[in-house]
Amino acid sequence: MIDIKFKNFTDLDNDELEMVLKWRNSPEIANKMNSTTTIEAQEHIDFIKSLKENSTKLYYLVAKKDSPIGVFSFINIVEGQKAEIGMYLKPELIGSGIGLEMQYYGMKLGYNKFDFNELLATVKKSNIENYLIQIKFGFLLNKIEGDFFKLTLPKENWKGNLLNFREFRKHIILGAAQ
Amino acid sequence: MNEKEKLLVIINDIREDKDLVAIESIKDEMSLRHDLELKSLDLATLTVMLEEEFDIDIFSDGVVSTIGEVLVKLRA
Repeated sequence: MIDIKFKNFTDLDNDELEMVLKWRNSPEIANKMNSTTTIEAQEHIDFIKSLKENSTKLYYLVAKKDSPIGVFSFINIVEGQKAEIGMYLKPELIGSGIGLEMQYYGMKLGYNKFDFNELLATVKKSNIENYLIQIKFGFLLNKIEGDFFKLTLPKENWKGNLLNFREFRKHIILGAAQ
Repeated sequence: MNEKEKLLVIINDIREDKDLVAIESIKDEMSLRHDLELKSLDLATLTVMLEEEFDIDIFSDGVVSTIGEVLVKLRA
């Protein structure tokens, strides 16, 4: 049974909204964002409201076994074609290894539910660990823009559609021979 | 070899790939991340290697962060 659940930001209750804002403004997360400035509560609420009218962005609170673990997003959505993924874990889980599972299910959501043909990712050049993870996932470097790597992964190259998470994890760690 | 000894061997294999010195022993309270310097991909490697050896997914019920927590999963 898949125990990872995605809850659209537009369906979050007040406690969940507050929790996500606290994560987003924590130094561990904020320092990795394009915008490192602190987000105020009203700005956060306005942003969530704006998502209801915005078809180019989808944000999800992700939970494993009903325990919130992080945020997964699709931005720059071109319906039925492509989107850029983004994610962050709750600060206590950074470096725990659970991010691989969250990304795997997030990408399945993108390719299968939303039927994107291509997913994109942006990684800070200084974040080598994240870059290596994206290469393991199958992303290819498309171009470099300033301080960022721009990566792409067409649906037909995504091995996760053929493998469950345990198989996929084994595949990316041990290599294509597995 | 018992579970703890096998775990030590696997951890040292991962550390060797990262050019980190081998450790002589592990203690239950040791943090995988802070004491053993394992990052996200290293933890995925650890998980896969343990799965190969013990047929147990140490992450199936949530996050594990210490040697003691890993051993509890392996002995369950």
